[in-house]
Amino acid sequence: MDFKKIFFYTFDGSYGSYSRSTKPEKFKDLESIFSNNKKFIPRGSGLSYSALSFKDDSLSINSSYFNRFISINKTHHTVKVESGVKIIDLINFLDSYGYSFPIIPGHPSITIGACVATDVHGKNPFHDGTFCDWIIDLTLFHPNHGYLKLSKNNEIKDITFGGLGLSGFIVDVTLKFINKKVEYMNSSTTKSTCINNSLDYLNNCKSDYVYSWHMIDINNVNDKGLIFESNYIKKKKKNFMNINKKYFSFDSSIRRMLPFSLFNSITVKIFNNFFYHYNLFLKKNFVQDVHKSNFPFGYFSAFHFAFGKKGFYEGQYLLNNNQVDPFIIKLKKLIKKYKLNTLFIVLKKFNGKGKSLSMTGKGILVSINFLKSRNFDSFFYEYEKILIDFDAQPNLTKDSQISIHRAMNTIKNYIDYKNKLKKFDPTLTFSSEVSERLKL
Amino acid sequence: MNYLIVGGSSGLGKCIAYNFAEHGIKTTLLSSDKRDTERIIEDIYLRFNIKNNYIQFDFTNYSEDVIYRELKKLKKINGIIFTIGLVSDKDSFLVDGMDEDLAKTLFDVNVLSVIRLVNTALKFLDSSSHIIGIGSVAAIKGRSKNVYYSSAKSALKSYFESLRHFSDIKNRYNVQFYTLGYMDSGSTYNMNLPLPRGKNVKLSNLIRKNLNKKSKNYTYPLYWKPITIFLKLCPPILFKYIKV
Repeated sequence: MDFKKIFFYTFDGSYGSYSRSTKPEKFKDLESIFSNNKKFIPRGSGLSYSALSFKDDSLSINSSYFNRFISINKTHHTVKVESGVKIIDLINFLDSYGYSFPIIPGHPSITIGACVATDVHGKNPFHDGTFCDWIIDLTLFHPNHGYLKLSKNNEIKDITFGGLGLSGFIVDVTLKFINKKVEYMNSSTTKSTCINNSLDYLNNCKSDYVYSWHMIDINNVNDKGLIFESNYIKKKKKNFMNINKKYFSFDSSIRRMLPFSLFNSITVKIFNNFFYHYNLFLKKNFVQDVHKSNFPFGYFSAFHFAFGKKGFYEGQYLLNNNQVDPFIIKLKKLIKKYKLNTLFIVLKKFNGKGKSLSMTGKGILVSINFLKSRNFDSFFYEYEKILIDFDAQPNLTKDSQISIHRAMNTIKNYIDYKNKLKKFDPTLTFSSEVSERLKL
Repeated sequence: MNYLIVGGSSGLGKCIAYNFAEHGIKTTLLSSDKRDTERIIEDIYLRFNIKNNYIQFDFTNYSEDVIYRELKKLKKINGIIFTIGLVSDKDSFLVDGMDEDLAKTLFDVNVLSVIRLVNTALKFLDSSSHIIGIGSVAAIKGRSKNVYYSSAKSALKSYFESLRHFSDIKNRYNVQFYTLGYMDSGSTYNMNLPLPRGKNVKLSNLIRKNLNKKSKNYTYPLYWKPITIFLKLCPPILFKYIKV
């Protein structure tokens, strides 16, 4: 079959290429794809910030027709779903039975297959772990190996859980869920005077969701910010904010429709100060629908849209607790040197057990959002050296511009993963722009 | 209520099964793809608490006995919806001729299986039952592409006209026929089509809403109606330049 080429972009707008794509509707469609093509890569909703689901000579296999719920076991609290099911559909499905799932990434349209391939984390990865910790078993399809059942103790799972889809097409996944109906969250906002203040708070906090947000002030030692924490509650209270459950989900091509960026050195300050004061004074303590807590970007899509065609760079790194503050001091010096604009830094406690390319170990997740400017490439060259010095493990879903040098030095299981993948699939049937750049 | 959907494992047939289940209508899915259809049935049950039936049947190897036996197991059928359709990349005129086996397969699946199944199913239908056929704009005018497919769909349209005539005279059955333009499906994904595609979800809704109506022909998407008239009237000298 002749597959037409379409132009795919990364969600952050940093990279795009013409790529062939197909959308199998049935098992026999899926199996027949592999007879006439050489390189493949699975694709979910196309929301990754980096080019994980396409490459110019790879055929992207869209999983959206594989979106069926297969079974639910109320005794063992497990649910079996196909890889194209969106996380919002899983949440709503479990909710209808009075259950919930703890690992919820920021966007409602992310597919289960993508959650597995990138081993996403939720709102409290220190407490709940990452997505793959909740997998009981998984069915993988590889043209040379057929359908493989991967359980917790299978070696192939090490290259599939958080393996960026390079080991095959994930057909279905059996997940554990929690026997708790969650509808509302009691949320509060606290002022934070500096990064260290937030780190202390995060380390001692026992809330269900907790993270801190900071403005980067290059002229000041302290970066003021806010600490957001939320706890599940069963019943709504008087001050409940009733929200519309519908959300607007857009893909990477719609995100970059605005020809210019609304963010610049002035509007960044206005945005950050508005966000800071709005949350500190108007949203100090409130109850909201759990969907709004779970999917901030589903309900606030305008944020990413505002970056326009030029896009943005968002790095997310796992750092040791005691290295966060010195890292940010160094980063601020570099930002000052290159006169760069950053939107904010978000900190979260993390605990990952991944054995592939995902972040692993305990520490603090640091997310930083940069605006793209003329100096960005020069800045990034030096910035990567700092990241290597601090042994900052990257989140490959977001880090769209990571170099192979940094990948080899900061991804804990890089060599091990590469060897296992080569052993399983010597011809490297599945390949994306990222996997090719990182020589995986 | 129980409707038999012929070709229920993908595309429109699958979509109708979900749409009907959402509105409390039970269906029996007839298809050859066991793996997909079983999952669809389970998914529908988990989402809408409707347990549909499944008949595994391969139309390239038609057996009347099997169909009769399976239909007999179903207590009542309120109607049959034929969403089955088979196309082929090789279905184009070539200088050295076309594959005759392909003609047999495409006619078997697209028209003969429908005729055979109607013949068998009439024994199980009452006078208020619906027989719904799905045609294609490919049948409006023959082209050098989709040769056998459009011939088969043309034959199917004629068969449904006859069926409707019979039902009008005898005042039995409600015969509805939908002529479809470009549709959004796995097979048209990424295809460069000159006109927008119709949505299976909207068409499923239309089919469900029309279940309380008598015999009638429909065109979907509606904008294909004037195009259909234009194509019928279009002289061959002009038609050869039109890319449809």
